[in-house]
Amino acid sequence: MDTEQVAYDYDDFIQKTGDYDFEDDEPLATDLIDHEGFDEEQLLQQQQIFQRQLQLQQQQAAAQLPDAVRNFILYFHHCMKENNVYDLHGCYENSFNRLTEKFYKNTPWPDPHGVVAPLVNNDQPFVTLYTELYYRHLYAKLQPNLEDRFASYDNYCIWFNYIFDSSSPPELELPTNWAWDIIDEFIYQFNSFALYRSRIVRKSHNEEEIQQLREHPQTWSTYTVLNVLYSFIQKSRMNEQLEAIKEGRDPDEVAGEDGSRPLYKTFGYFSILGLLRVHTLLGDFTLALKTMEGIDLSKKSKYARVAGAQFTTYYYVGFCYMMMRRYADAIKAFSHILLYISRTKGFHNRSAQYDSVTKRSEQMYALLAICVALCPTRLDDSIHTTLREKNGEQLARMQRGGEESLPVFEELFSFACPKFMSHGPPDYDNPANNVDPLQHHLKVFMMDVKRTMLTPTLRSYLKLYSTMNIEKLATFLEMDPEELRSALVVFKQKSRQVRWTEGSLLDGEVVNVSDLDISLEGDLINISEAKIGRKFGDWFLRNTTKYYAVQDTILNKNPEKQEEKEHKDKRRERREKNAEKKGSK
Amino acid sequence: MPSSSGSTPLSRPPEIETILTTLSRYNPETTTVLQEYVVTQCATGSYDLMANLALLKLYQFNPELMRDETVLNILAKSLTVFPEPDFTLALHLLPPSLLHQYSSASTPNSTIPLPPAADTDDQLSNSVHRLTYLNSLLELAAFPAFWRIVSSDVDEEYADLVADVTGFEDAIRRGITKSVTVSMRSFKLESGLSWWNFTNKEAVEQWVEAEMPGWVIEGESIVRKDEEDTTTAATSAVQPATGKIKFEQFSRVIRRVYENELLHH
Repeated sequence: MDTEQVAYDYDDFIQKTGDYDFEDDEPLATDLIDHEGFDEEQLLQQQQIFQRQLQLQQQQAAAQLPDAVRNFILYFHHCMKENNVYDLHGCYENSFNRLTEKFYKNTPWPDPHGVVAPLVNNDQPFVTLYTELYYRHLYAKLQPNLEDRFASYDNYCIWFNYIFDSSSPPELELPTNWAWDIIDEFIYQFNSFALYRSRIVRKSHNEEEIQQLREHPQTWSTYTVLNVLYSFIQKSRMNEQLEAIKEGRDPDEVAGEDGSRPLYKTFGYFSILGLLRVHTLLGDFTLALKTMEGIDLSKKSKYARVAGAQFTTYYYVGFCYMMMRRYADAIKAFSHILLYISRTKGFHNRSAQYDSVTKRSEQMYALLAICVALCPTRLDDSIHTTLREKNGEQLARMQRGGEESLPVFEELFSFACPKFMSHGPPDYDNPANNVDPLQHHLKVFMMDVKRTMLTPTLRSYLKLYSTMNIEKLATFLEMDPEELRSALVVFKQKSRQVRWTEGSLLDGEVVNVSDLDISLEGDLINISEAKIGRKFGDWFLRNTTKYYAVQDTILNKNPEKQEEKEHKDKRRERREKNAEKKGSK
Repeated sequence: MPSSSGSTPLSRPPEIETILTTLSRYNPETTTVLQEYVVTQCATGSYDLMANLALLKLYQFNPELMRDETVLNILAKSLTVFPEPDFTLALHLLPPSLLHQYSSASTPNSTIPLPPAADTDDQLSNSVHRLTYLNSLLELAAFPAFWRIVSSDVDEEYADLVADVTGFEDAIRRGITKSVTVSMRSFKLESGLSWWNFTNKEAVEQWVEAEMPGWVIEGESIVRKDEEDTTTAATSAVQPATGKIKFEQFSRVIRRVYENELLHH
């Protein structure tokens, strides 16, 4: 340990200074110099004392480190050095979370530089990685202040510089979900910083922090983030690789030396998803989807196994489609991922990710409700049921149309949209000039929505007839017939959308997505409705069984069945008690 | 017919293509090239969504480079491709302060909103408000109102805003034609006057002949003649209900009946 070394230095120092006898000094003309010398020596001495104290303190803290945690850190380090991806994955997924739950539920993990670095002999890459985890935990459980944010940014810079060092690219291989989490967290902290900054400027009473922000415009700047993401993509030649895969060729042929390393490949792929997110946050939905050009969502790549990446991707893809008015495509994206989430519910109960997955799925249900209101489509049954449970009332109000529906749209949009941010630093001098980007995007979105306010009413009338005179309908609706003609054209226009059939995400064909179709002949409206055959067989069977069950309850028949039910209940109770006992151990 | 907002228009010159596909799109110096390109689009009638959005994004990142004129021209250009959502997409990339004070009141008994006040301190803001209003009118298919406002004597600003775009009127007419062909099978000649902003019936007839193949003038109406189009369904498509049910699906019911009837009687 370091104790001996310090003592040696200190003793050494004492010996050296021991030679210099202060008291024997005569005040000479060189008094000034000696005087300064005296202070300097004393300063040095004091510094040494202070450092020794600090180190002692740190050692105490390290000694206070629970054994489990210390062992974990050492083992973790060991795995990384051995490049043992499998065990590294175990450390990351299980041990880290378990220890967090046990020791660091509401406090930060041990300080990276003070405590952990000495433990691993200052192995820089490991310390950087550990610091990343440290800050991620801090952001998640505690409130990071400006200093923390600056520090975590610096840490990311160190980490990315380490990876991009072309002279000696690291042999390190990280598990895919950890790589995704790093990119994800990086963008999250970037987003969080922008929001924090605009909040400070808005409140404008923390002069010191504002001053610091002014002095460090590069920290968490958009250019840095974009630079990192694009560099990963370029270094791994990810777009070329994806194209090669699509054409059935071997991606390693085009990957280049760096691109074939698993570390770069993983980061390259996830950086594309990262760009999708960053562009959406800045309001550029078309570019966001264009960046995803190479990726074929329907294919199951090995990256598709990272659940977090899937959720994020579909959320942002769906959102971009919605903002481009491609509601049918948005609905498809949301339904797909929501179905996936509901089917794999059991696997996501790890506390670390569970909350964020739940929040995401709530947001997606809200967006789904908006899209269904704007573009009525049949949904998968289970999704439809859950949607009605969660947002049923809001959906009904939106579908009724009219003025009352507008606040519901606004509410759901504000809840479910990504945390939009503006690119550059806010106007520090005139805080009043800074308009919240969310309000801006909401406003533009609502302009579209307002134009469809009349649609539900129109639909309800049109469904009743197969032909109708414009004059007559105008009287029903109390509208001017010419305005009605315009409204009908709008209705027809809105029912035609671009829908994806194949190719990159931006491609698509214009199709009719409504079940109601109209055509105007002079003053006559021809209406046709597409009726989808209902599967009544299944419906009848389900309801017959239900009916029998109801019958049973009423007649209180089947004492045998009752007994069996009671038996089952007792068994379940016993099982639960056992589980409780096991848990408390 | 496949349509893609991300596809490359034929009119795009190669240096623009390079800019858009590489990191040059983030280089502030490319604003000059892209601005020139906007001017070209206005002059020749071509249109390039991705290039225009890229320029707006550069303005987003470098607000000091933003040129009011170019922004307004981009917006005016995107009006010409209505009913595509291009105008809305462009709005999302503008600085939030521009639209902050936009509002257009509605009149009672009418779906057509009133023009916005457009009286903020910022000239650019006012112009953006006006163009947004024009977009609303087009989106609401309120074409007679649209023409009225654009050629209005009361507020000449509207005409100024679209003056730089050559062929603006014809482009809008084409957009309107698209809406008409999609939603109608016959259309009164008279309505054509106000919808296309023509002053006499001959002009309408010429337009129909030139721009609407498959449509003819019959008396006082413009009628679609080719029945091949699939955009409007004349008859309802009723699909017969599927009648196949597997025997296994009956198993629960049968079991139930068995237990009920045979065990307990």
